[in-house]
Amino acid sequence: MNDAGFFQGFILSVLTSVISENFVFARAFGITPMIAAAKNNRTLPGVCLGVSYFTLTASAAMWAVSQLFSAEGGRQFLVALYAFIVGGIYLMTLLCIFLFARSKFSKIKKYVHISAFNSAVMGTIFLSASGCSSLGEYLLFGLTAGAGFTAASYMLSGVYQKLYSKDVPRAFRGFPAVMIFSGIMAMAVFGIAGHAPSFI
Amino acid sequence: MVEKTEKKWSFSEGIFSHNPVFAAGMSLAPAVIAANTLRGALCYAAVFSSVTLMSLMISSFLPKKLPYALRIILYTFIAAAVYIPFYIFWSERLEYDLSKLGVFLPMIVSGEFITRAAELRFFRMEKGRMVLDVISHIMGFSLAIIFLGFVRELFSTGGIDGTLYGVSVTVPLLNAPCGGFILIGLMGAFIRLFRKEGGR
Repeated sequence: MNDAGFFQGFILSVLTSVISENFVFARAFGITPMIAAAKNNRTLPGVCLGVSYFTLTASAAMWAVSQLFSAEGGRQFLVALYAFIVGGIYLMTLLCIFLFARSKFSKIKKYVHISAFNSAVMGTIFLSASGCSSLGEYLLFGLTAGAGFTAASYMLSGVYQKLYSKDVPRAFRGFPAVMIFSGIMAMAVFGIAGHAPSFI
Repeated sequence: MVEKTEKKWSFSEGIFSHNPVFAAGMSLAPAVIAANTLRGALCYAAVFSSVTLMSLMISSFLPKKLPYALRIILYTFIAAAVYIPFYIFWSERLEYDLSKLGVFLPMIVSGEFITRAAELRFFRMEKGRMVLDVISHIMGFSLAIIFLGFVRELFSTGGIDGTLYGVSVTVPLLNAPCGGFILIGLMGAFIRLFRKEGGR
């Protein structure tokens, strides 16, 4: 593939993951970290970066694992391996932060936890394992999953204050309003794609 | 003298006022996607309940002296180890292809019950109450997704499991992720409306 073809494919993949197959609105992955990220504009870039980092590294780790083990047959046994991947990356990340940014460790660690243990990261691992073959595909999947999560978080952060404001009826204020907002966004995404993406 | 006011605990908390799906916003991905048919929701509830209950019971014996990060990783490893025999057990007994539930079944091992609620709620209680609280929250989650599966299948197809029940107006979008989001938002508002502290 020439350079123009590569970039065309790359941009198309990112746009698809951000709009029509958004990880949060089309697949419902990572709703809790999305709400946590959108809550505070100061921590929003950090959480988005954290989730993207975990989806990317988890995809890369999944590629390495796929070279050693076959995912065909007995998939239920691989769940322990998936847990090991997320746990390993989580520990390594905490260790790196502790060694290189010790002064910020206590502030950052809770965001590392939110970014690591969520359905967006686990969804990336499981879906990349069943749909990707080359390292490039794995990395692109991880990157676009993070991009989709980031786009959804920024969309929610734009209306977050309004959804939690007193203008919203008391019963709907906060979480129920966020769910209905996500439902409307999911409807728009569904309208663009015309189908719900696969989850197997 | 400052009087210590402790919030009264009740078994129904996890089922109604602190329902994991409708009030606390936990494990939303399977509730939005996997709970779009009654049979799928029932099967998910069966696997989820057994894996989560057993994992949390075993995890509760881990020493509190272990570092937080290590405890979380051990919780997911325990859940992964518990998941495998239960998956085999249920796939032999349920007349349903569990692979239809896609990536949401193995994601139980890193779900919010195991990686967040365990530390923030369950393991802070004394043993007896913890067991009851875990059971109450698991029941709350199971009832929520069974309700979602029933309503979404009935009103999107006009029947349950292929049998029609005379629902003349159907809303096919209820079966899609957007339907799941909106229904959860509406149920969240409904619970807020009827619980004592309404909307807080």
